[in-house]
Amino acid sequence: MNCNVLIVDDSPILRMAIRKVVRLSGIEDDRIHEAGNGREALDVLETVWIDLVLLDLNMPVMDGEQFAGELRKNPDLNDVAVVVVSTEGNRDRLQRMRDLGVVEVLRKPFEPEDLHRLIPKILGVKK
Amino acid sequence: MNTITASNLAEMTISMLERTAMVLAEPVTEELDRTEPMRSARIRYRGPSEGVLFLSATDQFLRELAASLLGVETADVNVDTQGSDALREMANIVGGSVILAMSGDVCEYSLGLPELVAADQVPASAAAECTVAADGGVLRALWVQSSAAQAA
Repeated sequence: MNCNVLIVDDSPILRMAIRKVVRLSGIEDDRIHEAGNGREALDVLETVWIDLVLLDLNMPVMDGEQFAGELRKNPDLNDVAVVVVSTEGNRDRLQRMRDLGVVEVLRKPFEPEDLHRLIPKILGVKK
Repeated sequence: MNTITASNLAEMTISMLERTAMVLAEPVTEELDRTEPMRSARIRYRGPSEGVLFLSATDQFLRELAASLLGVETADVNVDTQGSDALREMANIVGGSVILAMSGDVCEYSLGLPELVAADQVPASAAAECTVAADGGVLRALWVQSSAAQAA
């Protein structure tokens, strides 16, 4: 699949675990990018075209909500598909994320298969 | 607000381990060897009430957990970095399950960031606690409800 995916999570081990599943979904390893918080994710987006962002919410420096807000303000980036991958259960916060254009919420704990099914669905919808 | 019991804390912990890392754990009912060294993490929550969830695990447990998450052999796991990171993330995930279980239909709770803590910061007992075992290692979860007052 000729798509670039950005994994944004402050846990390196979870980024690696998600990367493994993304690879199994047919994305080549060199098309998978990582960031440890929203600020780093914006830096990646300045240099690489990203089709799908898998976004944690609770992170230091810049959290997922702030990141999504920045993304929507940028006309060059505001159609990037964003999927929240988080433990977040707060109804109001999830609604704010949907208002910011998040296309799907995958709540942790999730099975690798859940993410494996979601990736082609989101990228297919985007095409 | 729903309360958390030892039984549903154990269910959430076991489910988290199975779903996230395919680690099959079982509840431990006998008394723990409290002299065995453990690494600990905590995550705070706030909303209609406040509290903290603690997770403590033996190095053996963390090696198995990290190896399973990464798809590598246990011998290739650095327990100081990868094991501790796995413990923090598991605190995050169990914490998320706890606040959903407390909430019922509408969740008004929010989680803080998970952090590693020293052993002496972990309470000896809590409102609900459970211990689970897998592959020779042990993981202990404690739920501490620190305030019933409305959070600011």
